[in-house]
This record gives sequence, C-alpha cells and structure tokens, in this order.
Amino acid sequence: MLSLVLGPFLILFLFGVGYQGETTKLSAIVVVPSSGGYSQKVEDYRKLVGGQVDINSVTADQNAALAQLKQQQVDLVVVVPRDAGKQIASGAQAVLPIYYNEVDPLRRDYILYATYLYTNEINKQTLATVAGQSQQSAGDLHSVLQRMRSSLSAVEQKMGQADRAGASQQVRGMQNSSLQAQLAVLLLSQALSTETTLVKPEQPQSATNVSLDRSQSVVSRMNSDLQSLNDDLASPNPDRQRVQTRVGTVRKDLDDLDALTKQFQNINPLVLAAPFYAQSQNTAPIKVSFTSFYAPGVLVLLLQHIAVTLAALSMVRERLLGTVELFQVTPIRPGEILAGKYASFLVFLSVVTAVLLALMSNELTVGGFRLSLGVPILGDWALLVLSLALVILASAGMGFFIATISKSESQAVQLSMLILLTSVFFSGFFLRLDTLWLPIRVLSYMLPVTYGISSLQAIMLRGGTPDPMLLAALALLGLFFGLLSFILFSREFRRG
Amino acid sequence: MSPPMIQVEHATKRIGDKTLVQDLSFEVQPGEIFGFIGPSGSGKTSTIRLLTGVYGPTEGSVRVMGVAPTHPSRQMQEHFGYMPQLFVLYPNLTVRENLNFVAGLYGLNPFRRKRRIDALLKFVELWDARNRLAVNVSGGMQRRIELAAALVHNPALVFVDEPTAGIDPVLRGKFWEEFRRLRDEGRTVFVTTQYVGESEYCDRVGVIRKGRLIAIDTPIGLRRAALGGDIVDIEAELNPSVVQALMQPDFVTGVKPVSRTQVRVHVQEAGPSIPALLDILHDSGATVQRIEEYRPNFDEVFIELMNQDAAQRGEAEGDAETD
Repeated sequence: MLSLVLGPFLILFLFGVGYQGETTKLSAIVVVPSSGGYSQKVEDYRKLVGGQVDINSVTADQNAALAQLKQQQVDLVVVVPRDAGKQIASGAQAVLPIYYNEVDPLRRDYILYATYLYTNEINKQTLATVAGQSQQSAGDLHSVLQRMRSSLSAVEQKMGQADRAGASQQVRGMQNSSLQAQLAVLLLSQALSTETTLVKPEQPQSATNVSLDRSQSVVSRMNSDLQSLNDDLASPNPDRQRVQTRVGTVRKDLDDLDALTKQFQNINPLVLAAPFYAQSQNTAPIKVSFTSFYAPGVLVLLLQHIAVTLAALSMVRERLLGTVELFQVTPIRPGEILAGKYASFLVFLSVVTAVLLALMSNELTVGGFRLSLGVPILGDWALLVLSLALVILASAGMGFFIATISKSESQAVQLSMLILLTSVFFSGFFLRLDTLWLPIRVLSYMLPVTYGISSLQAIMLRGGTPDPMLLAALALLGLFFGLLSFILFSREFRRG
Repeated sequence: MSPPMIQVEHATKRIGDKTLVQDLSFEVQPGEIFGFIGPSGSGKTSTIRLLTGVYGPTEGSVRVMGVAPTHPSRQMQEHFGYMPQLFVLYPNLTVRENLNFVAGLYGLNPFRRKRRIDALLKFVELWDARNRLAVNVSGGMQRRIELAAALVHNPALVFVDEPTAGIDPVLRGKFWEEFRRLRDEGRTVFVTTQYVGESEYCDRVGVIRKGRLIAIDTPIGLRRAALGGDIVDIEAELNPSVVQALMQPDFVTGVKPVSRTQVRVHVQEAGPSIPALLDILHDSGATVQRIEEYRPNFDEVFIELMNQDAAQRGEAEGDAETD
C-alpha cells in the first residue's frame, strides 16, 4: 500500500522539486585572432550575447577549444573571423563559424536556434555601431557633392553673364559645402575604421584605407582650389580664362571624390544590416535521428527493468516457496546461490540484449527486408559488451536488494515498477541530467540506467569511449548492491 | 556401542516469548528409525529444525554426528537428507529437473547423477511422470518428489518431516518399507508423523506434546507405559469366584469384567502370563473359549499418554487431543 500510493507520489514530488524546467545555458568558448586588438576579456563577449549563452573563456587557440568541445566540456565554439572588417567592407557577409558537438536531436535543434538568435543579436549591435554611421556619412557626402556640382554650374553661368558678385557668392557657398564634405569623408573614414568587439579595422595598407586617405587629400585639394577660385573672382579684373581653368579643376576634384566614395555608398544594404552570418557545424560524427538517439536509452532501460524484476521475483519466490529452508540444510552457501543467480541472469539477459541489438542495428537483413531501425553502432564492441554486462549485473543486484526488503511477489513487482518510473524521469532518458537540481541528481546516480545510457550513447552514437569514471561508477554501484544483497540474504539464511 | 548419531540434552528453543520446544533430551543411535509423534503444533518441525541446525537451541545442547549442527561443515551436510513438510521445490520445473537441481545442491557430479536419479524416480513411482511439471502432479506425487530429493545423495542421516501426510495407504506402506531398507543399510532415519499407527514401524518412538517430550520408548514399551502393562482378553464361563481367582497372582494388576462371559486382565507382560492365567482358569473349573493378548491400537495408546500427561499437569482432559 505504502509503495503503491506513496511511491509514485514521491517520485513526482521529487521530480517537481528537481526539474528546473528551463533549458540550461549553452556554454561556449570564443576563439579570437591573437593579433588585431581583439578583446581577450570574457565580459566583453558576455555583454554581446548575454541570455542563454554562457561564455566560459576566450582563447586564441582554436584547436584547444575544439578539443574541449570533443570532450563535451563545452557546448559551442565560436570563432571570430580575422578578416571580418575586410569582408564587410568589400561588400560580403563575414562568416562566423560556430562548432557544436551534439547527438541529441532536440538539443541540436536548440543550438541551431540559439546560434540564429545570437547572430541576429550580434548583427544588430554591429549595425548600430558601424553600419549606421558609415552609410549615413556616405549618404550625406553624396548629397553634398551633388549640391557642389550644381553650384559649380551656377558659377560658370554667372561668369557668362559677367555677374562677378553672383559667381563669387556661389563659390563661397561651395567652400562651405566642401568643408561639409571634408567632415563627411572624415566621418566615413572614422566609421569604417570603428572598432567593435568582433570587427577590427583593416590594416592601414588595405585598398579601402588607401581610397579613404586619397579622398581626404582630394577634399583638402578641392578646398584650396576653391580658395584660389574665390581669390581670382575677388580680384578687380578677373581673368576669364583662368577662372574657367579653376572651375575645371574643382569639377575634376568632385569627380575624383565621387569615384572614391562611391564604393562606400554601394555597400550592399544586406551586408550592412547583417554583416555576419552564422555558419554552424556539428562536429559529432553523424547526424543522429530521433529513433537512434533514444534507442540506447530504451535498450538500457529495458535491460535494467527486466533484470531488476526477474532478480527480485526469483529471490522472493525462493523464500515464499520455502526453498531457502532446503538450502539451509544442504551444503550450499548464500554466496554461491547469489553467484549462481548472477551468472544465470547474465547469460539470459545477454541473449536478450544480443537479439535486441541485432534488431536495432542496421546489420540484419532477411530476404531483402531490413528488419531493423538502423541504429548505428559506431564504437568498440568490447566496450559495448562491457557496459551492458555491468548494467545487467548492477540491475540484478538492485533486484536482489529489492527482494530482501519485499515480503511478497506483488510488493517486489511494485518496487520494480517504481524503479522503472524513477528511471524514466531521472536517468537522463528524456530529460538531460543537467536540467535536474543537483541534490535530486543523487537519485539519478543510484540507477544503473543513468550510467548505461551515457556510456551507450558515447559508444554507439559517437563511436567514442565512455568516460572511464562512468564505467567505474557503474561497477561500484553493482558491487554495492551485490554486497548489500549478500549481507541481507546471508542474514535471512542465518541459523540459530 | 557406537556414539549416538543425535544427542539432545535439555534443549529448549524460544523465539520471542514463544516456547517452541522445552527441555528435550533424547538420543538416536546410528541405524535406527526414530519416530517423533505428536499432534500438529506440538513442536515436531521445530525439533527437526534444531537437529538440522536451522535453529540453535536457546538452552541445552544439540549434537548431530558429534557436532553442533548450527555450524555444520559442508562434508557433514552432505550426509544430511531432508524432506520438508511442505513442497518446497520448483513448480515450473519438471519432476526430473527438480531432482537434478537438488542433486546440484549437494554437488553431485552432473554426469554421474543420471543413474541415481533414474533409480529414485522408479522407486518413488514417478518414472512415468518424470517429464511433467511439478505443478501438474498430485499432492502425493509431490511428496514423492520430495522423498526422492531427500535421498538423491545417499545420505547417512535422513530427516523426514511428516512424509506420509496426504498419501494413500499403499504408498505409505512403500515409504515405510524404504525407511526400513535405509535402516537396514545402516542409515539413520529421523521421522515425524501425526499417524500414531505408524509408530509401530519405528524402532523407537518419542511422543511430544506442547513442546515437551512425554515418552520415549520402543512401540511396545510405549504401550505398556500407557496402559500399565499388557492386557489379556479372556472369554469363558465366568462367576465371581473365577474373577476373584484371577485377581490373586502378583503379575495381575487389574481385572475388568466386560460382560458376563468376558473379562479383561491387565498384566505386567502378556507372554508368560497367558499360561499362568490358563492354569488358574482351569483350576477354578471355568471353560475357556478364548484367551489372547489384547492389543489396543496406537491411537488409544497415544490418547492415553496424552491424557496422562494432561492429568499430570492438571489440565482438563479434553485439551489433550484438541491441542
């Protein structure tokens, strides 16, 4: 009764307490070019993204960062491109490579979504600081130059009408405009060399900078040309021929400036709005389907449940039948009985596992029909066998333990079901362990299935080696339950 | 004389405040059938548990084959055979598989046990049922599986807890035949039973009541103890002087007229008394139609013993049997 009502309630209660509901932050490493004045401060990049991405460190060593990713110590590696400034200036989007290493399809989609979100965020900020200013300046410059062109035509017209005062007034207006143009070129040059966290100005020798420098000299030359024109017009008897030449010089200055600044005005608005676009790459060896991702979990969960239930029932039945009474009189010892049971469950469940694996994996075809789900087994078979054997032994030990605390078969079955329920919630089968509150995770680590799922995913889906600590912990758990059941069973066996 | 197989001295077993058996003292010699008789709940199974070492005595001592059975060596346990009162083997194994399993418990060589198991299956008449599941055979057959299991390893000392309960009389007879055969091979059989009549098949019998041993003797000795000697039934022409004459000898302990022509004479021992009684009857001129020893069945003996014990303890007589 207690285990029937209280048990499931307790599990739900612990789940309610333990499950934190929100997806955990993605941890990331930012790789920045070692030169070029990129900030090495984590805070700068945190400010940039905030929210759900937690930036662990900033490094210049991309290989080290990728190695950490491989060991699943971080979720993301973001590489800041060295030539972002140049790319944007030349009218192309800068590629922001983002690496992740994930087999969980849900989590994979979440990462893709998150990178999309944060690229937008970065773009917005970059746009605010760079594009906003530069395109505005370029726009201003264009209208100023346009105005100056019409003023220059007006000067020629006034000269033709011998309206010397009118021409002089136009030139003075142009002088004002030229100052404006000078300011605009300066602003543009400054804007394009603005430093943001991710965008660093190009080296001084780049083409863009050269044309910016030339623009500035053209503007100052134009200023002096306008001054000379003004001086000529101011003289009591201006030489028409000379004025004509001066006007030609200024027009050429305007043409030059127009040509030089055109490239800034022609920057693709898309690039200005989104200078970066994320190019994310999954470093996991294969793209894992939902079925394949959950297959190892299902296998381990099933194995654990069968092992726990069978072991518990066999032991309880032994007691209820009275066989224990017979054992007490025969030369057999409790340790031998337990060892025999372990051995038989190992053999029996190995056969079950072999059949299940054969059905799951993509290596079984009968008469041209594929009788499988095509779940990949990339890793080492020996490791797979070892992990599964440990799961079976630890689960059987758990079953024996349940038997020693159960008084009837139905009680043993109930307790096994509770363990199954607990496993579904707390083993990381559906919900990642890191979404659970740490103290509640203790429960997870009491279940063989928790270790089994992690190791099987590592072996089958990543083709890697499970964390040796994982296997050691599983073996330890098995030893713990084995020893506990041995002590309790021996006590039941004890004479006197 | 060889040392006793079982030696129990003032053994008492209590669990909690419940006394299962109290102050048991008896010995069982090698090569005898020792019967333990008592009503259900009198402590028969508890005694077997004391002897097999499942229980340790709270007081007193229990020695089996010279050692305390609570700390048995494997070797010693290999000489034990045990047939529990209830069917404790696996219902979902076949008859043969169950025997094979028990043979395994005793560490019998897997390749040599087959002949032994075959022989036992034939003996307990389960040969035809050998491949049936234990759950599908009758209760009597299950008892026979248990008996075969207890004998599978040729034990020197066999504990049999109520082997004949729920078994038809023909098979019961066969069981006792086998116990005697085991005895004749030099093995010791410790058997409990509720069937009082079966005490006749035992070499010695202990009678237990409410956890206490109230008598240990040979079956004949037990009867004498219960009835105060033997009984001789006489059918003759009786008159008071004849009855008077029958009361005279020292060996006569009592005379009970049953009818006008029948009298029941209690004597110390029937064998030598009958010729003497015949002489007396002859001398008194009575014509004897029949004179023979009267053997009350063991139920009567048993009830008598129980009543005597109850009387001794000042209990109401009715208690003795219903208990």
